[in-house]
Amino acid sequence: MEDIKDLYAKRNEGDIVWKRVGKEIIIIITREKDEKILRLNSTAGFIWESCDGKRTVEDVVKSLCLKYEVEKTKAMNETVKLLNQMKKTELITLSSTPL
Amino acid sequence: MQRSITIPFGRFTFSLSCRDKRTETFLKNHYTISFFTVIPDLTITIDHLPSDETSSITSGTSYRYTILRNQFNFGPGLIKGSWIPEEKTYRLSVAETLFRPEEIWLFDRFLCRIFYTVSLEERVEGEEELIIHGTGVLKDGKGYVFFGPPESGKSTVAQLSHRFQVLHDDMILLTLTKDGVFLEGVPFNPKVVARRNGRGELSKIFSLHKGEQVRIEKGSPEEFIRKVLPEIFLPQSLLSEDRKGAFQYIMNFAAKLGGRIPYYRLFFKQDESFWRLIV
Repeated sequence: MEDIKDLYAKRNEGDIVWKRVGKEIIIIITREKDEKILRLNSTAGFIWESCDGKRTVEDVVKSLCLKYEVEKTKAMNETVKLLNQMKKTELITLSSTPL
Repeated sequence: MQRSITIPFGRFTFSLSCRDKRTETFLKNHYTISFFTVIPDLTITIDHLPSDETSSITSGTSYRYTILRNQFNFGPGLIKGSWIPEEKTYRLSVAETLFRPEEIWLFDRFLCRIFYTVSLEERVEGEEELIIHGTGVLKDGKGYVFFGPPESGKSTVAQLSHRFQVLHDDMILLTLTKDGVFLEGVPFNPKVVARRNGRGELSKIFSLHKGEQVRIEKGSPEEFIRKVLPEIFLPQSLLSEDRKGAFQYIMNFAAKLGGRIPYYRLFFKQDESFWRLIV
């Protein structure tokens, strides 16, 4: 697994519309040939909302552990997995500098 | 000689004007005609595209669209035209093949785009309008919408609701106002039921599921939004390529709707018994 813990994660706002509805986040990818509706559960939604380009992945994981009382290694593994998926679908950008 | 018909579409009136008798007869049969002679909000003139400029209809055709200033090409190669603002007129050249029962759906969708264009240009403060794929029924003064993906049973529910006022079995116009949410049919021939005009206040919304036993389950607003989003006809103006803005609009509309109107999952069989559960 790629080590991304020191990278800054930022939501891509270009072709994406999203909204918090109750405990979930609903995301619409509006690209004409790749239109999709995605649903994030509570923890994935927390990570998504934390991707503001100012916090590193490690910062996000720390906040996640505090909020959901999860063990750090497990939280880091799951977060990295999710963020890599999001990067693949162009939902987020990862950068070595704040965005 | 120009031949015209006038059709009501939500709060607007469109005049459709063509040159040949066959197209006029077809349009008269397919669209709801206004009972009253009114000054239309806009005029749509229809000429036929030369056959060598016509493309064939394929899946996804209705989503392909180009625009350059006031000129648009829908299909593309099926409906070409321009918007003449000073005359409030859309001047169209349309592939003749669209004026047939099996292909008219594409022109219907184009009219929905025109409806959205004028609706977004002439917005009423505090009101929002959206077209949703679904069946709309008025019963005892209350409005119900049944929606779901293709084959989920929208037409079946419409047929099983023949004792009530079925507004449309495929597309319903919803208007969200500060006084309530209202539903009405679009002015096209429905798929399987007879056309019934009317407007009413929306009381409940149901997603459709086929089941062994008839039952209704309460769903959450989150579930409603997730399920309804793919069934909304994207409110994109003909004069804009702003897809993101259109998606933002439907997201906000769906969230407001989910917060105001109770949403249920309806499991139904091929009979009318589900209506006993809807009170």
